Amino acid sequence: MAQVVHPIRRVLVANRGEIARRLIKGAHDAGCEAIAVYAADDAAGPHVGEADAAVLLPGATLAETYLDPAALVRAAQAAGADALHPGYGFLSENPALPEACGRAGIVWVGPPPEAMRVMGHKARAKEVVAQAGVPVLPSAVVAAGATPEELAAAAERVGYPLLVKASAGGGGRGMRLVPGPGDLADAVTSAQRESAAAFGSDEVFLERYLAAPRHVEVQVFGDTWGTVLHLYDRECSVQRRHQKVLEEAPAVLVPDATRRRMWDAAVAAAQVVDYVGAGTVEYLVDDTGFYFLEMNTRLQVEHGVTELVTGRDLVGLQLAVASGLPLPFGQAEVSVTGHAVEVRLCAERPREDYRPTPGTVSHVSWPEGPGLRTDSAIEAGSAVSPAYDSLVAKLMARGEDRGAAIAKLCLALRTLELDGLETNRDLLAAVLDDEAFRRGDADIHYLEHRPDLRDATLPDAVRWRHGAAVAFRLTGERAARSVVPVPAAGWRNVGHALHADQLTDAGGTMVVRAPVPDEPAHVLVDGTWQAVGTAATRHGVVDLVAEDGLRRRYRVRRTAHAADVNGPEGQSTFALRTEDDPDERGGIAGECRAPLPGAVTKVLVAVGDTVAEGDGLVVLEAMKMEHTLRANGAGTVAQVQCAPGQQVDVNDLLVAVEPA
Amino acid sequence: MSTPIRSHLATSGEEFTENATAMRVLAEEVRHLHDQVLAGGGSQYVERHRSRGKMMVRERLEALVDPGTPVLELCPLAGLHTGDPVGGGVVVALAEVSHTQCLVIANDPTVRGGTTSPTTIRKLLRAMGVAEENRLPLLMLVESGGADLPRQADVFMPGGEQFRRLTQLSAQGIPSICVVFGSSTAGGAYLPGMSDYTVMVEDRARVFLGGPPLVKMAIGEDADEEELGGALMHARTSGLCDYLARDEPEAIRIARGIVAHLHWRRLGPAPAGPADEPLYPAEELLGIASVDVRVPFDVREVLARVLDGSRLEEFKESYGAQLVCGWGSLGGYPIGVVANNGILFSPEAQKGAQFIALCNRTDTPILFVQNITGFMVGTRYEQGGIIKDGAKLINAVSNSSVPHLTLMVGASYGAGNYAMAGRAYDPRFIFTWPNHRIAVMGPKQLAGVLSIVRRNAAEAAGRPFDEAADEELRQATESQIEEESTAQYATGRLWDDGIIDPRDTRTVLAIALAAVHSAPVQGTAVFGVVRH
Repeated sequence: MAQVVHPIRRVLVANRGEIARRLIKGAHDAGCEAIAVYAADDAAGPHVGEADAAVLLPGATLAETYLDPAALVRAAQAAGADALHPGYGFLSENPALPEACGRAGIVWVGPPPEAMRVMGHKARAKEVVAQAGVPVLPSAVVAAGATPEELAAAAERVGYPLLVKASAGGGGRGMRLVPGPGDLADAVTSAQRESAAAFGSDEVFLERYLAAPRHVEVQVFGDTWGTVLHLYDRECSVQRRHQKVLEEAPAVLVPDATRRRMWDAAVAAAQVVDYVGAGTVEYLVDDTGFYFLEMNTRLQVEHGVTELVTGRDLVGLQLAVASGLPLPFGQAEVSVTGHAVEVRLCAERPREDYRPTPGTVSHVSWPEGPGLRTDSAIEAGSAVSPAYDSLVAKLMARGEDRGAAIAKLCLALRTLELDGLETNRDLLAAVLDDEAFRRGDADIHYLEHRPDLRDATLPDAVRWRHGAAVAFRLTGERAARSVVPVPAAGWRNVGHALHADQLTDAGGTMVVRAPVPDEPAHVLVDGTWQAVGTAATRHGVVDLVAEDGLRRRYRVRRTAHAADVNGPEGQSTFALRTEDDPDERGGIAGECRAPLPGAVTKVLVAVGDTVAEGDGLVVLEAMKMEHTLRANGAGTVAQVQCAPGQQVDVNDLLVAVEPA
Repeated sequence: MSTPIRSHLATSGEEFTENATAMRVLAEEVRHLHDQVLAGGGSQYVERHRSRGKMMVRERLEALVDPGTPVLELCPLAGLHTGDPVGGGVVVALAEVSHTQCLVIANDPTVRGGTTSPTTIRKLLRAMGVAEENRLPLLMLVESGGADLPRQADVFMPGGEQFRRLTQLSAQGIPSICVVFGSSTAGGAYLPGMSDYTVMVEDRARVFLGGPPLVKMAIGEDADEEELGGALMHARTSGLCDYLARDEPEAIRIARGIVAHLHWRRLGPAPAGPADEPLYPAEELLGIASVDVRVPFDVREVLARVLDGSRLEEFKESYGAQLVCGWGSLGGYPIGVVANNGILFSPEAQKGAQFIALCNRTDTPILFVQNITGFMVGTRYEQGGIIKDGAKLINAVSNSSVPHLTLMVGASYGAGNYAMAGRAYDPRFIFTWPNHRIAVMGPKQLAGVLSIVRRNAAEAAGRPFDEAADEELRQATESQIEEESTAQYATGRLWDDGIIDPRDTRTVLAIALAAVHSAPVQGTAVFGVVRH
């Protein structure tokens, strides 16, 4: 094993988003300069500005930019970088990149390509680690051109229920569950097809299926001096669609004896491939024991929780090890203190199968405090593009024990201010609040079995308070525009001001009224006005004394047609119509205009179609609800100015109908 | 330099408490009357109106105005104690529409079908006067059955003036926007006819000179209402309709859009200083004015709760002390204040005349605060030239060209009313407190004067004087005059622009001041000949 030290002075960060920012910070902490790369559409990414310099990756597609090893090496050379850190995702587990680095004389911050290659092939990895004594689930590779009889025999050896998995794959792609022999052939064929499309190889294997396992993994670290040690375990059982949503360290409810065996097995698995750098050995765990799932040959998304409980800087260690230094501590010197939990805040809508919800961040303020950490991809003004991963931030909290960490993270999630972007925050908060989760009672099917968590929204009383806060903010703004030079918002000498605002969010449309500052705001509930509270407003800060007698502070920020409310009980984003917005029929006969800002989901007509009054023209999704926009008169469709997926603003012309 | 007025009001004293209690009762009475106006023509008519899917008059107004802005209705109790419907079946309001201060006129069709009574005419003409003097765009939300036909004799002649005034507004560059929600027929057809802009609600607006019955009577034609005067016909055929709206909310949005595109420029100066709140709470305004208007109070206590920062720079403080003159500001607008603190003597009249002339030299609007039982009488004062000096003050008030606002907080008797910019002296706005009393003289004096006249006549004719009968007559006269002197009686006859809750004084005056600054504020150096 080579024991040459190449001091790293300048590292190319071959990634984007939150991990690029984490690596830039890591490089700086280690006294290295950091060079960012960026695609043209990513030039405004925060990582670009935070690096000491940045290199544009020419090209329009991912394959031409972040996924092109040659382009990345060229960037490193252009910037004079002496090392390259791949981060996670993208090319981090593709041996082509370290090989290209090697040819160019650039230090690769990661394991040797051969180790990556072995572990990247799921079936081969199982064989190798099994030989090192790591427990694996019964499995069988499906030989190319296997006869149905051979297939059936292999399946019998593995045992039902079983999974068909892509040898080259990961992330659940190409994976099929087969409950019994009848479904085997079809599952294999479709898995092969999907695998070929996704990974360029149609090799699949069969593996025993565990009904309710938990996902536990061990962080390992190797150096070029032959040392491999572990930094304890993490649990990542809360998953959606095979992707982790919440991770914690250490693992929950796994007996210490089992954990110890898992650590040793993980070190053995790494040693067998001469592993160098940070890696993660993943297991499925149930009452029958633990089983090797795969080894990730890179830094994990969730490395932060390990850092929080061990106090070790994994990126710093990666750089040190890559430069040829030995690990600066021995196994006995690594210990775990307390408990850390991380949630992945993603721009997505859980209730609609986690559909991505791209958007532009208008304001963000991360919770801060001892034991809190946020690794984020965004700042105010950031556009979250559908072209990239939906992960916008990782929020982490460390506490003396698991309960303390969860409580802290839960509060942090509530007080986080993030305007302009829809995220899975309510789901994350609901999980952290969930009794079963708090008991540690969550296997990898937890979220599938708990649709109630996906549908979690703020309680009505909180929504009303948020609506009232918006109404008070509006009242203040409007009074400031009045020509009357003394405070007289909504003043009447006869009768009362009647104006009410309509605020729309996922919970529906709320009618709220706060015409006079000293009087309570009201919301219309089942046809009756209900008092919500009185408030003092200053610079967008609304101090509301609610009907429960408690005073709470809300920050309300506005754009032309939306209002974001952040308060101690969470966040709401409302679309709001102004008194001058046309109604659903559009402004002028024959015109169909967007009544709310949103995205066109369907266009129901084409130019030349004959429509009757009331016929649907366009389905617009705004504020998480679908609105069918209808013809305001009979005629012929003359123009269609929108397409599915298009973002439109209030008043944009969508369809024009030539009146009959 | 102007310093804050120091209040000496004993807010925990018995007098204050008594005054406040009495004032609360009076203010509550007015609120009660407002509630009656809000109820329109009664539940039966309101329900019928709603069942047609129509908005109530104040719902239309509320939809029209900018949310979160104040609305000041003028003459809301016009017609009170006259036999006409209270409010005249029409709402007149100072309101902000598309960030433009406007004058809004809106018919209440639930009140006798929105027909026009003599009170309606007086209120409409007052409204047009307000729009004209203050250069405020005029919005009319029309749904009216036209003249109250049984009362045609009382409305036909004066009613004609509204159409003349409308076109004269237009000639002066003051825009008029007419939104027709329902019927606007016969003479009423000239409301859209004379307006700069017309908006009509489809299937609702009916605008014709003669409806089907009249057409049948006049030329024997069987006319269809829609063909005769429907919105669609006017939009497509006659050209009377500029904007066709599919329903009421859309008509209101269109009207807001029209006001927005006026890009209306206010020609008066913007507030010049801070609009800091008075140092004393408005709530205390309830306890200042005496229950009995004959009991004097210090008008500075009122000013201390109305003016910015309670500041008043007093002019000639030690001369003519019963007329308080000085400079202050309200809502940041500089104003001159002329306020009674007792009866007017020669020095008071001379001081007021000089002060008004000075306000004109500095283009400063004047706030008159009336609590006046009149000019001093008696041989000594007549010989001292009280008429000549009173004439100086009336001369100044009459010829002053800066905007005048008049607030009546107590008594307003005799020539004092004139000299202090009473209704006949065309102040831009005039508001009264509920305790206010107004007449040629106090009821007791008036009844006593008549009694003396009767006694003198009897003596001259050598007739015996029936003391008992005289006393009865005297009391009857006194109570009749008492009744005719009340704020409610006065406001019913449009002698003012409304009775206000004393606590709202600052708000009301600020709205009025904002309105007067929509027009240029320009003083004069030209007054009538002064008699020395």
